[in-house]
Amino acid sequence: MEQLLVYTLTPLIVLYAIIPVILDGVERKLKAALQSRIGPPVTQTIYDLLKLVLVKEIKTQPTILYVYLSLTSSIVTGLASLYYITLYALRGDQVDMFYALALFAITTSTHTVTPLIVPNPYSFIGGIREVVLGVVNEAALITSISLYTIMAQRSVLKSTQWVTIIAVALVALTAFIASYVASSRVPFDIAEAEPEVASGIFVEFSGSVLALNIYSLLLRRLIVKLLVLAPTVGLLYGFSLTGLLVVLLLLPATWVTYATVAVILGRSRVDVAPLTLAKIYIALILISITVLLVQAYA
Amino acid sequence: MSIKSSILKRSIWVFHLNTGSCNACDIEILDALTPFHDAERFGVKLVVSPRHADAMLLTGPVTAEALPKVINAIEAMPRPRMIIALGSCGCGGGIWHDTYSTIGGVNKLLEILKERGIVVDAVYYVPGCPIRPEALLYAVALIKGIVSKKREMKIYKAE
Ligand code: SF4
Repeated sequence: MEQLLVYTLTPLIVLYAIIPVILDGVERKLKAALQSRIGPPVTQTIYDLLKLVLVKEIKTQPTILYVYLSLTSSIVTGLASLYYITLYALRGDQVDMFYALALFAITTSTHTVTPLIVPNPYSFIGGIREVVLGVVNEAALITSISLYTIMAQRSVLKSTQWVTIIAVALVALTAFIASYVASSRVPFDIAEAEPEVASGIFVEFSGSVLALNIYSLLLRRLIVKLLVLAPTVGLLYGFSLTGLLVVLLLLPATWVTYATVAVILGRSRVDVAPLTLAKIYIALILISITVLLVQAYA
Repeated sequence: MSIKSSILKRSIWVFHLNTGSCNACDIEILDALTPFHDAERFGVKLVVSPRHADAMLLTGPVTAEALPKVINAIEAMPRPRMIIALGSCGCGGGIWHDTYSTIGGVNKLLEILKERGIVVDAVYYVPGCPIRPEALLYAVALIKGIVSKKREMKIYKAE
C-alpha cells in the first residue's frame, strides 16, 4: 500500500501543479464560446504567466521579501493540501481531509494577507474586501466540508431515514456553493474584477510577483473543487484508486460547470445572448431526458 | 524572432489612459474590448494598474495638467513598455496641437520622457477622429507581426 501511494502521489503532485493553468485556459475558451466569440487560445494563461516572469519587475515596495515569502508559502501549503486530499480519496481516512482543510486555511490566509502588507492604500482596500469575504465564506466552506466528510459514508445511501439523506444533501449543497464562492468567480471575483473596482488586491504587483499571485489563485481554484469532489465520489463510489481516478476525471467537468455558472451570472453579448442561453437550456434538458430514459429502460 | 519576444507578443495587457480626450476615442477602445470585436482572441486584456501593463492606450493631446500623472503612469509600467497613441489627438495633438493648455500629442511626450531618462520601447500610432475599433485591433495585429504597416509616417510642417 505504501509503495502504491508513493507511485501514485509523486506524479500526481506534478500534475496538480500544472493542471490549474491548463484548465484556466480551457475556461477562458469556454467562456468565449458561451459569449459567442472566438476567445484566446487554450494556452493563453501559460503565455500570460510566462510573459509576467519575463518582464522586468518593478520593485518599489519595501515589503517585497515578505510578499515573496507569503506567496511561496501559500503555493507550498496548497500543494501539500492537494497531497492530503488525494490520500483521503484513496484511503477514506477522515484525518487526511482535516489535514487538507487546515493546510487550505493556511493557503488562503497567506494569499489573502499579501495585499495587506503592501504600502498602497488601494491594495489595502481590496485586501480588506477579500478578508471580509474570506472570513464569511471560509468558515462556511471548512464547516460544511468537515460535516460532509464525516457524513460521507456509503452506509448513508442505504439509509431508509429520509432525514439523513436530506441532511447530507443540504451539507453537500452548502459545500458546493461555498467552494464556488471560494473559487473567486463572478460575482465574488474580487481579484479579477479589478478593471471595474480600480482598487484591486493585485494593483501594486508586477512581473513575477503578479505571476505568483495569479498562480496561487488558480491553485486555490483547483483545491476548492477537489475538496468537494473527494467526499462526493467517496460517498457515491467509495474510496479506492478507482475512486481517485473518478475524482480526477470529474475535475475538468466540475471546472467547466463552475465556469459556465460564472458566465451565466456575468455579462454576455446582448444581440446573441438569448440564443446562446436557449442552446444551453436545450442541451441541459436533453441530457436530463436522456438520463431518465436510459434509467427507465435499463 | 527570439522565444522571449514571441512570448511577449502573445500576451499584450493594455492600460487605458485618457490624457484629456473628448471621450469618443475612449468609447471606441471599450468597443474593441467587447465580445463583438473580441480583442482577447489576440491575447489582449484590459488591466487597471500600469504595473500590469505591457502597452498604454493613450488618448488625448496630453494636457499640461495631466502631464505629470501621465509621466508617473508610464514610469510605473514594467519594461519592455509600449505606447499605442490613439486618435488624431494622441498621435499629434489633433485640433489642439498648438493650444496653450496641451503639449500636443505623443511625440512631444516622448521628447519629455527622453529628457527624464524614461525609456519607451515602442510606439504605435492609430489615427482617426475618433479611431475605429478595427484600427486598434490592426495596431495589436501589427505588434504581433500578423499584418504589416499601412503607411510610413510623414511629418508635414507649415511653412
Ligand atoms: S481624436 Fe477626435 S475623437 Fe479622439 S479624442 Fe481627439 S477629438 Fe476626440
